[in-house]
Amino acid sequence: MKRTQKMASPPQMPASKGRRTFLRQLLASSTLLTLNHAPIAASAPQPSGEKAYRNFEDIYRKKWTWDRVVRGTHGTNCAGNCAFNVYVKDGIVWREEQQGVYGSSGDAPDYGPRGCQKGLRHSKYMYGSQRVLYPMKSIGERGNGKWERISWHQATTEIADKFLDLVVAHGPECISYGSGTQMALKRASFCSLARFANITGVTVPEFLSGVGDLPSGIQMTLGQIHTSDTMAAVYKSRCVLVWMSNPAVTRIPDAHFFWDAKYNGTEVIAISPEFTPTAMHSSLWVNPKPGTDTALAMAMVNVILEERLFKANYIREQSDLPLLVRMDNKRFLRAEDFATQSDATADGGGFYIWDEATDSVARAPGSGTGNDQAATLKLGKLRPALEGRWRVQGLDGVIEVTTAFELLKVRAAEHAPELMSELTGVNANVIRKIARTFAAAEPAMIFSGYAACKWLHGDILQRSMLLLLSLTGNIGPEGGGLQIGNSAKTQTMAFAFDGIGVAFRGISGTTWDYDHAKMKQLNQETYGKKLAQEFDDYYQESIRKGWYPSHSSKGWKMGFFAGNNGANWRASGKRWRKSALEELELIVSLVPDAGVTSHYSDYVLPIAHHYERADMMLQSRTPYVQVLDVAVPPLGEAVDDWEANRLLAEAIGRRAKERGIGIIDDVIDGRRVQRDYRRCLELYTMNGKIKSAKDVCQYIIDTTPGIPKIPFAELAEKGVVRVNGSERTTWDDKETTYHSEVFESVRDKVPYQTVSGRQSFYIDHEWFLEFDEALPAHKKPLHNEGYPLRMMMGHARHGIHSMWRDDSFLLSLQRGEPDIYINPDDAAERDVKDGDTVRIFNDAGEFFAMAHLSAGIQPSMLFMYHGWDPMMFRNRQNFGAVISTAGLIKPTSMAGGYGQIGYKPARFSPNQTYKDFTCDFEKASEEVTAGEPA
Amino acid sequence: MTPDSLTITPTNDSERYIQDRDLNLTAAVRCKSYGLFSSLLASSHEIDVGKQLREVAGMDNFCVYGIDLGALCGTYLSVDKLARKNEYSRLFEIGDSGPPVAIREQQQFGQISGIREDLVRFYEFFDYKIHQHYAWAPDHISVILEFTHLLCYYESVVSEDQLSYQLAQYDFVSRHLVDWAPIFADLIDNVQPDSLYADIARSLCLFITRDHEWQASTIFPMERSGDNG
Ligand code: SF4
Repeated sequence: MKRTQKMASPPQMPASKGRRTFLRQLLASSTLLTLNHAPIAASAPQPSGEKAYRNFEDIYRKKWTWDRVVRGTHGTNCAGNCAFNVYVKDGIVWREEQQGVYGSSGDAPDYGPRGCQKGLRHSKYMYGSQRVLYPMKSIGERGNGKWERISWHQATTEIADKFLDLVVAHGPECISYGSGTQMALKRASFCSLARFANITGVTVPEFLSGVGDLPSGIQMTLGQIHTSDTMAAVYKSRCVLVWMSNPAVTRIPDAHFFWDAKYNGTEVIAISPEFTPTAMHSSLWVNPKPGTDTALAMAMVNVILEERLFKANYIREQSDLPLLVRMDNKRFLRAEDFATQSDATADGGGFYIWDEATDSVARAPGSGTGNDQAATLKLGKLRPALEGRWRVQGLDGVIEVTTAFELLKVRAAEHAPELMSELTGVNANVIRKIARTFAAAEPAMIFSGYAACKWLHGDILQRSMLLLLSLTGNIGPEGGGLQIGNSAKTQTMAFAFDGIGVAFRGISGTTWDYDHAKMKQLNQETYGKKLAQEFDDYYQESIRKGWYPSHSSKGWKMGFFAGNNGANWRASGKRWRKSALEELELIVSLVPDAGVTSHYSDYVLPIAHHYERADMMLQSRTPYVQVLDVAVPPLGEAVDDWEANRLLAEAIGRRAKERGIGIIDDVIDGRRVQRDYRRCLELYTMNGKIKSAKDVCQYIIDTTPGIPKIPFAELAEKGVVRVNGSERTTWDDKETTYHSEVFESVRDKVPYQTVSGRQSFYIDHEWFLEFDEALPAHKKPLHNEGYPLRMMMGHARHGIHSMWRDDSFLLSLQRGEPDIYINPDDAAERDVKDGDTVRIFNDAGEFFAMAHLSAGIQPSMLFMYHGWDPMMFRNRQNFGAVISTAGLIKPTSMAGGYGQIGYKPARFSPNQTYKDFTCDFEKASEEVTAGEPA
Repeated sequence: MTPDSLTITPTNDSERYIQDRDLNLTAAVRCKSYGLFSSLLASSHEIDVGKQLREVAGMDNFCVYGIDLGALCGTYLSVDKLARKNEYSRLFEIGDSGPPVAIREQQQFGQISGIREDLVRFYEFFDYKIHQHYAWAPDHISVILEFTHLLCYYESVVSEDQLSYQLAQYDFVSRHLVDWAPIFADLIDNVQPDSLYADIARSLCLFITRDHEWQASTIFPMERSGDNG
């Protein structure tokens, strides 16, 4: 049995003379067995039988069991909220699996199974090298990559000291607390942030408009932005225009509703300049040139009006189209035209129609206040005329009037299909075909993402989409409507204010950036002095008039960033970083994963990832509350957002006491507020009543309408719980968790929260008249002089914003690095081949990416999926280099004093825009690509 | 001790057996060496290994495979605690796109998920239970070395079936350390060649390579009936 083989040298002992002594010494040492990472093993197991080890396969023979299975999801803003089982063994999350517990609404298909490749990758990603595990302090120059690991105590104490220095010197408004949609959807986390902000008085830039996601066109038309239903509503539609959205890529768990509907006979028409995975599966793909969508929408309006395909009775009752408009000044005919201001007010004010039944002027139902008709849209015996011209006797003489509908006809005539065909590149017959299909379908829907909000004139596109829906009677019915988003009636602010009162300082994120990042100068450099000056004049006038608040007078000196990678996604990102972020005296990032914003921070605080925290998610796409439960303790020294803010509050309170800082006077919206930073912690925890994120969740469960009132532990056990009033696919039940106001207007005839009490398509605000935006019309998107290509972007399949973008496995499903889609002819013209590194540039800057040639991209456009972090690019510079739009704030978006129009956080404020620019590309020089594999 | 006593008698279920291994001379030394490398590479922020290392630094001439472990422990102890912490963070915890050097095996090999499962299955098989605080990092090099240290310890103290521990050591080191140790050392050399950790990693690399060779030279395949060899 004995074999011989070459013997390697054994572990060499000291010379034999000392060997015995040495071994004695070693064996006698108290520490032959030293286990630093495990409790000391009592005694060695005596392996035998099954326990004997003979080959590595033996370790795999033992049944692999779990210590526990925890419910969870991914607390990001993918809108999925997919229910997962999270499998834990030996303190590690090993894998996740779909929970598969869903039901359906009515006869629509099931909401499950839900999931995507990113979610199924998370148990690996959470252990990745991108994780921030310990509090870190930057050493030396910001961004140089040198860090020192410090304790939470040191970090929060130093941050608190700087915070208090600034508060004492300037007041808290010079300190911002930026967050993002990811944060907002983790309800307990956002409540914690809001409470911290309410106590401390820091400025919270509103992020919906800050990232260009605020559907202000809906607010302008319907007086609110929450119009969306569950995803199952798609199945109820007979014609869905998927417009400015790419659900096959961005809504993976829900995309099946489109294909289920198509199988069921629904026309699914994808409208996008590039050929998308959604277009691939649709009944028809329509590809307008980038930036011409409003032209297409208005051409469809033209067809519907020309061919009399509209639902006259619906618009008579619901819209402002029958309202009378003065021919002389294009303003609505108002009560003040018939009486003095005070008499008009006393009479209940309001707007007017021409009643065909009595052939006379009559007050429009739903308009004014305190008059007989103000409380309802019901027409009763009235029959408002849509077409005609009349002369009415006013206070100062005869006034010639017509209807808003007549003016719309004129506007629509300017968008005849033949004319718009040239502009959009879509054949006039195709325009007619889709307009007819849309008008004939009962019901018809427009499913749109947030991309429209990212155009300077995206509000007009949304207004024209709503016009299409209203003309065809499709705002209200199940399976109709403009589907962009809805919001849970979570009592975030109730939690923030509980026991303290209102002392919250919110601000439009876009105006905050405009004030602090030299944006007028950027406009000047990119779009010329004239535009820059004009936009600035209106901007300043709006603030002077009090239409918009400004919290910028104290400057911007310190910033917290939580759930927010601002230096990644901001338009003109690097410029913003240089001109605003890096000017701050202190930057603090609270993040689970490192990215460009944390890289330029002074302190980085580690935050728990999805499976390491308790929280709850609500998203109107599915009728469920979804839990996040703690599967494993946060990695390293990470903590959840509740705890991070608690630690900050504790440090601020402690240092305020130690430094003897008394009450600080502050002013919020003209009100005096006294802030006692010594009490920060007591206030934050409601005197110790709220101890953890789970307690915050319980508060939300107890106070949010429509959520079954159960203990958090029960929610954690179940994973998902269905919300009340969700039997249908629409959120039309008042008692449910989401907004239902539109249904109340259509079904119960409750007036809209608009100036006229009706769907508002004609806006006679002076600025709208001045800029010819009273009615929707195509407006040419801005461009950068001398640069021919329009670069479009969209959400990615393999990441949610910057999260998971750097995951090695997900990267292996793509090109492995940031890539840009290019039309082959454009590439050939520039001698670029697939896989080449290209330089994309305009006067604002440049960045490099891999050329990805695709015939699905129109000539004269480029396309890039977003989210790639600047740290993944050469020179730490991503696409933000060429997006020169960050300073574009159109004057009408700053308008105010007009019912639904005027600053309303998260409802009406200017969006940060991302699309109104052009650029060019070329093959990168050899200098840039030196050393790269061919 | 006769040469035959150095042979571990194989059981029927074994396809390999051990020969030419003098447990008295090798097990404790190897056990100690793995333990020391584990301590030297433990997080300086989390674990104070001063006492363990001082004991060895005080021993005369602790050389294994020509590596002066006593001196290495002495060098470690001579570096200021804070400087050591900062160096550890700089190399293994913080960097532009993740730490410059992976101190966790899965990070080094592109997050291949099987790596951690393999480790944990080994740990579970031999009842090695990591403290909850470190449980998330079973692939930390210090933990991997500590487990090998434990296997050597068991080898040195059990009265029967040492073969289990010997074969497990060899397989475990083959699967988790032999390929990684040179990469680990090279990476630190590239990033910070003058660092304390560069010295440790170079020594570790040498130790693992030599010890693996030595282990291999003591393991033989069983001849089965019908085998002509
Ligand atoms: S990332 Fe979002 S869509 Fe994907 S599985 Fe998780 S929750 Fe669902």
